[in-house]
Amino acid sequence: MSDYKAIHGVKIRDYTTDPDNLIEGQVWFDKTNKVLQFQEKGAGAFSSGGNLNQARSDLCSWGTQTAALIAGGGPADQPGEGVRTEKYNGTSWTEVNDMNTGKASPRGIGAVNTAGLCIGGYGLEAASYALYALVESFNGTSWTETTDMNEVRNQGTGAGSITSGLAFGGAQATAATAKTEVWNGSGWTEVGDMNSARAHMTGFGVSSGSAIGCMEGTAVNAITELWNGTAWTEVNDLNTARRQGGGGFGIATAGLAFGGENSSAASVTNAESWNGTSWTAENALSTAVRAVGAAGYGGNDSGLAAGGIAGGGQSNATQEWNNPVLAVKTVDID
Amino acid sequence: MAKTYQYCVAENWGKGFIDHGESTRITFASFPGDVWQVPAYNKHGNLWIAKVAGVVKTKDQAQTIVTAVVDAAQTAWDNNNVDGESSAEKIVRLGAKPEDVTLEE
Repeated sequence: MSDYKAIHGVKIRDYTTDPDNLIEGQVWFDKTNKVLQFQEKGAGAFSSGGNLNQARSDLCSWGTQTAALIAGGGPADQPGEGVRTEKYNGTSWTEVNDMNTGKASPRGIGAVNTAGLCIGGYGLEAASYALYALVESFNGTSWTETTDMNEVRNQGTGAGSITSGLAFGGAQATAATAKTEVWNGSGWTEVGDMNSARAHMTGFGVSSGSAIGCMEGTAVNAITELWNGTAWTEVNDLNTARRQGGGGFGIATAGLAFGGENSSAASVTNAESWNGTSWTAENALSTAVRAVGAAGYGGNDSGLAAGGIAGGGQSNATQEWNNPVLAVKTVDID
Repeated sequence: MAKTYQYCVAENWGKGFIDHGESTRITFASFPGDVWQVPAYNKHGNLWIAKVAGVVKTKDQAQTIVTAVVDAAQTAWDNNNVDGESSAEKIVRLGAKPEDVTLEE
């Protein structure tokens, strides 16, 4: 301690609880636990969240880490399963009213779990597997069918909110589409196409004015495109190319993309953050997963990954991402 | 050769199973059959296994568990067919056939 004072000009204070108004680099002695602690910039990481009531993949999802919603998705071979809806409160998932139409591979648009849209997907009846342009609106309690998209989209991508949304990409009858549509709260308008037609992308954004799309369904790639409200522009690639619907959340200048599948058809744990210009590798998922739901409206400091396909089948796990600006650390003496 | 990883079986109960601090200190990997891999000879990994009441397995024991679950998933995938469905349509409906998993020492 005398060395510390000689170097820094102050003594280390002791506290019985963490001091108030901590600043980065502050050091103190925890009298209660008899350990030396300090405050430093934290590292983002995934931790366990509450388990889904039903394991599922390739689903509709939106919201935040403490107010998320998932709906539809697999088990895709079981008609009647694609209607289920669950809400998350940051701790546990609760089943709420079903959608009107069962859907495999739908996608979600919404800021919180009391308002959002479930778009597209395909029918679960094996005889038809009809592709959908259907849109259902959720009000926190129940679902209502609203205006269809102009395009059918199976494994399309959604971004934005219930009053300002964006739908882009997806699979159609014979190929992926590059078509993009803007939702204004009541109807859809076709706007500029993506540069590359893709389905099962990861995408995020908070309005129809800006969004990110990356990865794709069939080919392993790292291509990223940025939507500025008018047109798509190809920007810097992901560091690790992937496919099959890893998840993602955030805004056009601060996002996170995770999971997916590599060229050997194995789910991966990779996570990368987007800063508006480039991607940086982050701490990985603890469970490799693809076709996963995601929620984290508004930025990349917190969000979640829910469900998906992990190893032997569909997962009911939730993995929560937190990227603390500052964190209390204990000096580790082995 | 010293082993790199250790394995245990533990059921993910949800919130708190892996907390943020553990996630930053330990590199986790999970496999079918509730098999978890953490670094060997690692204090933080050992503490986590104790916290989750993990049942420690050798690599070979863990491999047996994983292989049994993957084999069952592969068989279920093979047997899940719809008349007239192409292989591409089956993959769209069910996803790709589960891959074999090989654990590392």
